[in-house]
Amino acid sequence: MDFGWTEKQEALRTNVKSFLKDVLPSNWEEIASLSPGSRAVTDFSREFCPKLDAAGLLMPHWPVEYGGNGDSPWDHFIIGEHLWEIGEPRGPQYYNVNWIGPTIMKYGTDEQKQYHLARMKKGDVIWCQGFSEPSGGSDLAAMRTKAELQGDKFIVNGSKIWTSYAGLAEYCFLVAKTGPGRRQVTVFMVPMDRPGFTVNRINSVVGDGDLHEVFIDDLEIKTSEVLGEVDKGWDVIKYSLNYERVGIPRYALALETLHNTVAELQERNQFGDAAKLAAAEAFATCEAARMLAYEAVDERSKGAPTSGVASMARNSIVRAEKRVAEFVLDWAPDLFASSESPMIATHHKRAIAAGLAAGAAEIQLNLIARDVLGLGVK
Amino acid sequence: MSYQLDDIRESSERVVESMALAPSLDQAWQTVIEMGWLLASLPEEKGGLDLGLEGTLFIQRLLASKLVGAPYLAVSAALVALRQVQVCDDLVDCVVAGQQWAVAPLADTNLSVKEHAAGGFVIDGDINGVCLSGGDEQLLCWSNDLQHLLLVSLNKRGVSIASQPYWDETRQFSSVYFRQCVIDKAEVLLKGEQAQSIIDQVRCVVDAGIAVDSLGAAKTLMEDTLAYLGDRKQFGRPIALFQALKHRCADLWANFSAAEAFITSQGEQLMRDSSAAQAALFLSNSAFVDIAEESLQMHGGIAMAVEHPCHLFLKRAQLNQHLGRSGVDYQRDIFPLDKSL
Repeated sequence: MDFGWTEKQEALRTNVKSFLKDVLPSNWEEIASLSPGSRAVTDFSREFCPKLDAAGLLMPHWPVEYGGNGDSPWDHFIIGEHLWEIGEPRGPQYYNVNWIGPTIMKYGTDEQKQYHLARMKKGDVIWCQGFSEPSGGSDLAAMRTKAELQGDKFIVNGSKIWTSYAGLAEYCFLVAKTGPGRRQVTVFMVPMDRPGFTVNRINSVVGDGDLHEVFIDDLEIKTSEVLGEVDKGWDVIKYSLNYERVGIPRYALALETLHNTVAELQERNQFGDAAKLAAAEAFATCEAARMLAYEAVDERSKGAPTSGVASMARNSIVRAEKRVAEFVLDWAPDLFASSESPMIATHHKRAIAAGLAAGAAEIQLNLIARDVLGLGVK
Repeated sequence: MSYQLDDIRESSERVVESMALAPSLDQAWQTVIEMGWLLASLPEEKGGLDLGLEGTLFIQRLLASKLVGAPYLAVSAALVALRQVQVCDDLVDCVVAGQQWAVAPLADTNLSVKEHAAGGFVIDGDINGVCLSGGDEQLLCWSNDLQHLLLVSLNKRGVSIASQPYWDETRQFSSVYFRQCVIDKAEVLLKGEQAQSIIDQVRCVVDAGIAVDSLGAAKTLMEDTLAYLGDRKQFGRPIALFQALKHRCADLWANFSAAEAFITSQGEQLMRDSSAAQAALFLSNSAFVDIAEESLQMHGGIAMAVEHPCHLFLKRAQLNQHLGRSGVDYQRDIFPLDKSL
């Protein structure tokens, strides 16, 4: 495996940095310090993403027929690194380009692709993910939300929880049980303004807009809003999770935070030997996580079957984020609390959520144990 | 003819697979010589396979998988320097043929070099982590200021050698003490910037070699532990089914894989970039120690028995943490002041 960047990729990095310098407002860090699901970041994303698309940087890895450029997944990941590094100005729309769009490409009908992918390309549509429930978070198959086919439509009842971005989302990537089998589920793509949805905000340490509970009462869904086949939603979910798992290069903000904290310590003449050692260990941990994430992207770019690398990468990234957060708390705790360094606090809040966002890290450990180590496989 | 690593991979793996765990030094060293593994990194014009650092690290990792104590890394690191110094051409031939012994130290060194009034140089200091054969041997070493690269015969006045009985019994190391030892000008291979450049390479190779030693040994132990968890039954079922143990193994393996991914990604850069070599050392050694400690715990009482190999891995892991430039003085330099992305 050769992880050296090509000239084209180096040029892409330069291009993204230059684009961000031109487009981001002077108060961007203050905006970014709010949750990606906050009103401010969401509104900003609706201005930012169209500009990103105009620059060819919103979905370069999508096929040309869906508005992309047919570029490698590496290009998308490189862009993701620079965007996450500065706080993710795509807001909740990173969902669209990272995993919802690719899942629609795989399982959607022509009409669904034409409609939803075009809206994502416009850069002004927000989606939420209706997976977790009070009775089934990590154990997704234990969900109780049911969709019953009545005539030509489904009637859905149940509830979802910990739903990011639901308060401002236009669409929900909703999963519900459609039969008695444990994995007999179906995925729906439903407008959030449809009668039957009630969304309540849950205050979160990450910030406003991060978490919600969603109650679903006699929600009517058309059969044309089913993604993939009825009762075969488990395959759709697995496919989407593979994209989501290493979708966010979270180590990028951790590295940025580490560099900024070290710079501050140097300015204060407080970057002594012990701090250097702690920074070195945190840095090496981030770099190792980055390289493992690259292995996952490498697999994806080659269309190789999933091997568990994505789960291991996710585990390593969580470890790296926490190590950097601990470094800041140990060596410059005032930065964590200071309004003058909003991105440090932003990293800290996101690091707290790292082991839970996109599914509990323990699920990744289960997957590594089963799929990579063969433990508990009878 | 140009060689690829794949040309030697299968045969090398087969040979090491047939070795006993922690084989005798003599037996293992004989195999290293017979297989021509010391030729791995030598350039083709010197009769080598030209596999670069990748070749050296592949063999070292393979040997570590059986806890081999033979000084492959010490000799290979010395060859990195010797192959770049023309006057050493004959010596290189003798070393790879197993006829002479030239080693680089695997631990940090402390050596002062001063010019002698009567010509030559006077050296003083201690060199630890030296693998010796007990015969007429030469030690590649360097001054503290990295301005002198030396190849010193140990059979002379002012040199004393003490075998060091280490906690890790899979390897044998000595300490070499120089006290007002006078050496010839010819024993100073290089001086100044040229010396420093090659010394840096040698130290990087040692760091990277210890790093892959940790990976190789850790993988063997992890596989052994996973097999044990599948066999051992408690409360009527294999303990591999207990989530507490599954999660520990998964966590250990993810950490190991991250270290491995880092080393793979660096490639030959590990020989040129001190910070990368240091990061590799830190990541791999940490992963190995964690695996060794946790494996012992997961094996339970059986791992406390000397007959069980678990303790051999733990001791090797703990000694590896003190080999190469493993001191905190070096680790601090891992952090780059320029940005990485």
